[in-house]
Amino acid sequence: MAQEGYNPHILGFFCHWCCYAAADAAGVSRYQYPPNIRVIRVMCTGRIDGRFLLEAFKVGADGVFTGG
Amino acid sequence: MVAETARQALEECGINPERFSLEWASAAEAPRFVELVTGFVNSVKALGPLGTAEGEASRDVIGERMDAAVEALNSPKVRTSLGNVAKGLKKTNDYSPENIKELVGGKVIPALRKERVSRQLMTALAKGGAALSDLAGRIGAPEDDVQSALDALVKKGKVEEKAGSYILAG
Repeated sequence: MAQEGYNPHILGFFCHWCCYAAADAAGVSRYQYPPNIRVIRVMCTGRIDGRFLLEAFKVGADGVFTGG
Repeated sequence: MVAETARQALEECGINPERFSLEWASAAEAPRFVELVTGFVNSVKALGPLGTAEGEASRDVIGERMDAAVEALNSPKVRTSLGNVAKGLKKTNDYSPENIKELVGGKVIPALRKERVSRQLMTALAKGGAALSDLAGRIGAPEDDVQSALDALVKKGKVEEKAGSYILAG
């Protein structure tokens, strides 16, 4: 079902200390990665609740990526 | 535990659980992070937009189910069952994925389904009367569960049964 040029809306929950910093480092070192992820920074992955994840799908995200 | 709940809840609502991913990348692992993000974006691309992958319900049906599911996950009963699972894990000191899967599937998901079905019934019936099979199809739960939720609502006097279809009371 994948359409040509289809850009999924993906929500990312990134831990401030791990994945967010990794994303920052990736940017600084000019790695290329897809721009589909909209990032929400959380202070710790443990802060994330099942409600956040379901809410994301409720408002129409095609996928949710959680990075700790 | 939260991830497992989310995965099973998504499946329950007719969404492919592969749309959710939980991965670890430390601050020093930029290449790994890029790999993970690229891989995940590609797998979601392969699934297509929400509601079009194999076995998924249509987008507006998913929307209705998620509305009820978010509310249900907020309810004291489901929060308590989550707390009980955490307590159970600590007691047995068995944090294996299989054990978590079993506990979540056995305790949280039934509570979540019960709450979600009764919430979604109220919103569905507010739009007009409907028969049991139509309701079960839209809600995406077994007819037995929908039936028992309906019976509970009838008992509370919130719903009435008339000639095989159900309407809101009053």
